[in-house]
Amino acid sequence: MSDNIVFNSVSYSYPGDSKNVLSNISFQVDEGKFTVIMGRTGAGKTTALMCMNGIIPQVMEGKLTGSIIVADMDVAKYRVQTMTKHIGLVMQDSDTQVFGKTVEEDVAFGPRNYMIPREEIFKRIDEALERVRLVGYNKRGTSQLSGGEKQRLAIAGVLAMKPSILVLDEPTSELDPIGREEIYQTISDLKSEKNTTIVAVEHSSQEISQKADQLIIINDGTVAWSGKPSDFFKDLDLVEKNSIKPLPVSIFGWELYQNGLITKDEVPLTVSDALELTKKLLNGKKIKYSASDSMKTNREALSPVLSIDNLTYQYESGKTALKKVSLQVEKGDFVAIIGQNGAGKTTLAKHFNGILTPTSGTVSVCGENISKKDSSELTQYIGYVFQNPDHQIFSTSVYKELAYGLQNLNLSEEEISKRIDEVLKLTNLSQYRDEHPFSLGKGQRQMIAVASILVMRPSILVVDEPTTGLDWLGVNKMMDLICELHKNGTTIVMITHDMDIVARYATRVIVMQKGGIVLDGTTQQVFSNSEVLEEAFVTPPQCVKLSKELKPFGLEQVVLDMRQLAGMVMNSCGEDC
Amino acid sequence: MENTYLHRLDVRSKIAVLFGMLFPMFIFSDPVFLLGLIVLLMLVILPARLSLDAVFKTIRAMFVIFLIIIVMTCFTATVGRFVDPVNKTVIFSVFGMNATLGGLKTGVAFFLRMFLMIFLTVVFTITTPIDDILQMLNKMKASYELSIIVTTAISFIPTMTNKKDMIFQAQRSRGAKLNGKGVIGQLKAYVPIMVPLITNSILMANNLAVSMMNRGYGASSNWTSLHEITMHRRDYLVIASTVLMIALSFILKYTYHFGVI
Repeated sequence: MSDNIVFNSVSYSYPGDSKNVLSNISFQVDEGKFTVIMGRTGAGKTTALMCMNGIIPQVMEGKLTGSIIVADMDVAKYRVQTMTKHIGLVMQDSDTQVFGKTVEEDVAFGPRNYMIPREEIFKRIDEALERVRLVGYNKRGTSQLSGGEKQRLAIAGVLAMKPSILVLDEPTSELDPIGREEIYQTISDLKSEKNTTIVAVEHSSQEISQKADQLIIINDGTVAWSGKPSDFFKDLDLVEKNSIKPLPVSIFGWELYQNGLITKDEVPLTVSDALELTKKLLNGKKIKYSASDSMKTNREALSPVLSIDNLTYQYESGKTALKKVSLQVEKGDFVAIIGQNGAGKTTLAKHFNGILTPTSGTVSVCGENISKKDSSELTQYIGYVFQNPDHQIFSTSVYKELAYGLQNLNLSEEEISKRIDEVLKLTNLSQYRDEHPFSLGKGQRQMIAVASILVMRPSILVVDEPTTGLDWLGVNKMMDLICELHKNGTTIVMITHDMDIVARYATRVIVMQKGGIVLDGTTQQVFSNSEVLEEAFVTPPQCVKLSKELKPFGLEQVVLDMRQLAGMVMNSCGEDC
Repeated sequence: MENTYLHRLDVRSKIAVLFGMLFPMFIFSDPVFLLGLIVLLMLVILPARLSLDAVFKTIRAMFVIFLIIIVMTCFTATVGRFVDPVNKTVIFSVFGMNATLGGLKTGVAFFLRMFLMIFLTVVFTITTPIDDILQMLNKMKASYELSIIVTTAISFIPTMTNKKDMIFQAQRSRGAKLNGKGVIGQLKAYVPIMVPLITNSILMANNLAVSMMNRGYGASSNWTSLHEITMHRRDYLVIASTVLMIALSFILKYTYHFGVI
């Protein structure tokens, strides 16, 4: 028996929708390999995964044609419950995949359904928990787990069924870099020790370029490209065309390739490759640059719009979430707050507009203490965009959704309509003005969430993980908008795990750890401080790592823009190149 | 969870006590006997030092109703039914209606029975993990779907509470004012909370169904039970005492005519 997955001219449309989500798609996943599927949001990736064990069309009906063979079994001929013995599917939303009261009960759910003897189940629980690094969590209540732990538990629940094929839908989307690393370690172990066939849908490119054996790009329901990941990521034209996030060092390499210094095959994908390449090009020379080359524009004259003084916050349980945090955000800042999951980033930000009230300490917005104020009185000064747009969308049209906040301000109808039209234009949502928000894609819904705050014209905008779950196209649109707002004078405070975004956009970075601020400075200053970053479990982006490695070659500072770094290298090796 | 001798008792013995106590409770109508029963049970239960706030909360909430019932029975109890002539004594009269001693006793007995039932159910619920009850259902050949529905629903309470909080916070950030004028105004103010809560629940239900299938739900017609409930010596002791107690009550009442008013 083989553990291959073979799709043969598969087409599928959801019930009541004539549009094909999968259209005549054919591909093969080989036994014992780690295959990654990438593509835009809505390209059909998740749909393809759900076809693999028969959820489509057995649970979600619709029209399916073509054949799908998994582990030599024709999926159409078996029940989902029979397929799941061979192929384990971990979905995206960990909240709905963890349904036991305790960790142990949850992991046991799968094996129990197959009437596996109790002793065997307990053995499997321990094994599965060890695989996902949750040893000793057996008796813990699942509601007390962090997001990352829940995501790992969801994987353990499937592993306990001992599938020979493991399929994961965006297993790391909500994790910090360390959490992502842990999931990938689990995947590598399974592959090497158990020869498990692994398929994953992913948005982030960094790990994939090195760890995956095969990459399949799906666009509009069909395979747009497939092959070795390194071949794909070395060709930046191809990467851009498929709107996948490029690797930072490949941008560096691509610049050199386009200037004829290296061949396409030499485009580096890892920091060490980039270092070797630079060494070769420099050929003993030092990097020449003027100090101003890499400096981002200096901050404007200081005038604080948000000040936090000695803020401490305790949960009702008595657990301290924030300890004596003091912070000033100046007008025109573009601040990124980074740190591990659970470091207190979101808890801190929720104090900015009074959603949470500090246990002790003060918060002032535009010079005024907000302790006596309700969040609803602050909407014009400070806007807070939450991570999940589906937690706030309730209207039947985009227009009405945006009007809600303005109605709370008791503005006139003309003023409301004027402001909405303005924001719709700014966010490129004008064409969806009368559409139902839930008929739109995730990227657009995220945009609606931002727009619904922007209509109130806040002078400070707080955005919590604005790019999580978006594809590269969506990420760029979102960041372009935030940049534009920043240029027009809005102060930005952004919480994110994406270090490449921090490097590219933020002017100031605040690193949090265990409820306190451990580092605060310009992006370059912060990223230069490897020791503190490491202690805070923050993995710096490739550009920072490369800059550091190049220190022996005369680069004394951190360069955040890869194209600029390529330019410096080209200038330095001069006529030799 | 605490682990007192009451926690360790098998769920079946606890159910036996819970239902067994109904016999003496309704066989005797004399408040003195019921009070005796309460004291007896207190002697058994109080040393476990459970927090019994729930009992007093429930009683306090219903106190006025109890009082009204007691007053009512004073006047309305059928005098002819009292066996002991003392109970026919009129304590006082209002507007020509006579309040009898037997009536008062009937009312008090009613109150004591209610108290006992509340007391026992609270003790039962705080000392019995939900899994034990589910297993008992299983033992009684209730379908395993039922136990899955109950456990899953319970484990989703924190998740849903969390969702509700997030939605609340998100809407407050948009200036939601949740104090509308009048009933309609109040309801309207809650639309921005309720709609996302419902849409999210539907989405979650859908995902939950898929992930249950992914974990082989419905593969066979039963599932492995994780913790076997077992009867120990103490359980047999408790059940035997309950049986004796019931027998004793019958003898006292029907042979010796004790405990009647």
